Amino acid sequence: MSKIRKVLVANRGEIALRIIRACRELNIETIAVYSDADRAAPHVSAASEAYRLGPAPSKESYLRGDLILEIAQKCAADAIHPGYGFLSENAGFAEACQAIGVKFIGPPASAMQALGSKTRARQAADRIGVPRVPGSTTALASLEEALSVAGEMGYPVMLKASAGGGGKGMRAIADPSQMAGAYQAAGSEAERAFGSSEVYLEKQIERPRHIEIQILADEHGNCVHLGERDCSVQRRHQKVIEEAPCAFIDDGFRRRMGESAVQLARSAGYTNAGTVEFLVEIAPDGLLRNFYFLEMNTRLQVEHPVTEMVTGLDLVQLQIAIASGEPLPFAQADILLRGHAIECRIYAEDHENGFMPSPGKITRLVQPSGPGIREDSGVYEGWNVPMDYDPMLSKLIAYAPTRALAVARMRRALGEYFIGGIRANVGLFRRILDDPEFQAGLIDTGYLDRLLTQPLAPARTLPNRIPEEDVAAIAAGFFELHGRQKAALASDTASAPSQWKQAGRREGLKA
Amino acid sequence: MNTSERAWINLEAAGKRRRLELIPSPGDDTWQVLLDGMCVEVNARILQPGILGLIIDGKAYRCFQHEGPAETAVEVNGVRVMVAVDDPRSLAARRQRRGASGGDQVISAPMPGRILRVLVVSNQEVEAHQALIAIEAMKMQNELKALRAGTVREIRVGPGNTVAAGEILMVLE
Repeated sequence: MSKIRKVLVANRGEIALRIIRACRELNIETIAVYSDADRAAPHVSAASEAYRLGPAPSKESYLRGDLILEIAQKCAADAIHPGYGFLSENAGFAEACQAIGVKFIGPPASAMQALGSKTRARQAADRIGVPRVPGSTTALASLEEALSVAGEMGYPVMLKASAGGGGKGMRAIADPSQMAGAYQAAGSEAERAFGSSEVYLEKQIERPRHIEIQILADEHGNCVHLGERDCSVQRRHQKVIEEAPCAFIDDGFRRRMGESAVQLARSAGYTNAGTVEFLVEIAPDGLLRNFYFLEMNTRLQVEHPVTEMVTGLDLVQLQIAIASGEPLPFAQADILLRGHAIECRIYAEDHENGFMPSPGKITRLVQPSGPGIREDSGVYEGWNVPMDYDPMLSKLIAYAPTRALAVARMRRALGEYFIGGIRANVGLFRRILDDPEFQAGLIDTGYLDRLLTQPLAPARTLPNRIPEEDVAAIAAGFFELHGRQKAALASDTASAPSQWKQAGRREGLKA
Repeated sequence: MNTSERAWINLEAAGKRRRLELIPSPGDDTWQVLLDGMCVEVNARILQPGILGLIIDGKAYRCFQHEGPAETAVEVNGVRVMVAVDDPRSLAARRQRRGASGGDQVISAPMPGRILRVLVVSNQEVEAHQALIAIEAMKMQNELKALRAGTVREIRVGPGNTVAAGEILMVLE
């Protein structure tokens, strides 16, 4: 066991802050790193030490593993927490940490390699008999091979990057005529995003739910699962809302999925926190039918807070305990799920205008609070959201005894939320949470795309109230009047001698 | 808000012309408001810059002002309404607004970002919805498209340029 006293957080935004908070509670010192765009970012001030990495682009800052290791050594960091994204799934970086004696808070490089590549993970699933999405388990060598594999399997199919993540290098293909274009596009997108153009094929499962299992494994052979998260609300293969537990799962199904996830992790000598993703078919009664292994994420995930809410555990603190060599403080039977949690990913994007990104200065920020609300945010009022990184501002999490109450709580919190100066997708969540299908839990990975093609229902005005449009017009009038008054006041004071100066003269002080 | 004078304000909200008359009552935050001739009693108070508390007929509202580089909006109960107040001092601005719908097409940056590619050349004729410029921000690529057919008259940016929100990138005729 090696006590961790100081952690370098190799990330930014809300997750860097999340990790720093966990460390502070454990009385562990923290080192922040930042790019030139992030000097004023909240994670920098929250840490006990902070060091500059380089210019804004990720390649010159947060992806500079060499610089990060140099800082870690210079500051005598015991461990590095990579967060998610950036270097978190980079086996080479994990190895380099080990080589200089700094603990990488995550799985060993070998497990990352065995499970991080999608094709290798699919082979691992086959070896231990965990069902996986039908398709190839090796990279496609050519377009001809792609056509023949797809032809055997039957369309529709999905082309995916072996090194993929975040929906990049992924294409849905309805018939053979689309294959050539998609094969080319997916390959080059994967090459750009991951440095590898390797792609493989999967059968497309009709309207599946995306359900994933959180696992924790210590370095003494103990491995448990912490139940599931339903991440079926997605846009362009990116998660938008996550919740725990799934609305329609029974204990037996959860146990079977959980055991498969644990088996897979064990087979690769996995340690620390990880997530095993599955696609699940839905039976006509809404219950889950068959599950298929999709991929494994060898890191802490964005949506880990919903699991924390329903288990009462702190996953980041457990990651640190595991990395220190401590055994898991509980067994599978000790883990009880209680209540329901929902998370909304608040992004700087204009959902009413083609989801255009919207970096810039946050001029006004009114954040929700009150019972059952948690917000993991990486921004503040006055912060200039850089254009160089992903658009996530914050994660809003609602927790309540039941799903219906959690939905009600989230709707209430969204009503309190206001972000001014930039466009944010708060309104998108209001729309989803108001939707009867979402409220009934009838979601699959195509749910959000279908919702977005429906025309926007006109705003409903509550009875005995004047329409919002009229209220907005009246408000615009008062804002204008206020502006005119301020302008008049400013021109008055500009012509008159400054009151400070006058006061200074009166008191005989130099103004 | 302290004033003893009544104010007249013309504006466009959600695409509709509205005429407002704000008549103060002495001593408190209460106003008589005429909205297109309809009279309502309104209690108005600026709570914070950009946040207005209204009580209209006993019903409370919290109104937020969005002042973006290109437009102004007011948000009430999660409903976002685009507004444009007529500026009595600038008739020219209004004329320009009207003119923009007929003559030149100005393509400006909808967000701060980096220009990836310029997809057209000077004097090229383009069709409606043809992609003109690819711009990247927050790891997302977006193509800016022509609203209607026209001819490229001026290109003000090139690949690699960093642009601010609202910056003019291209003019079409």
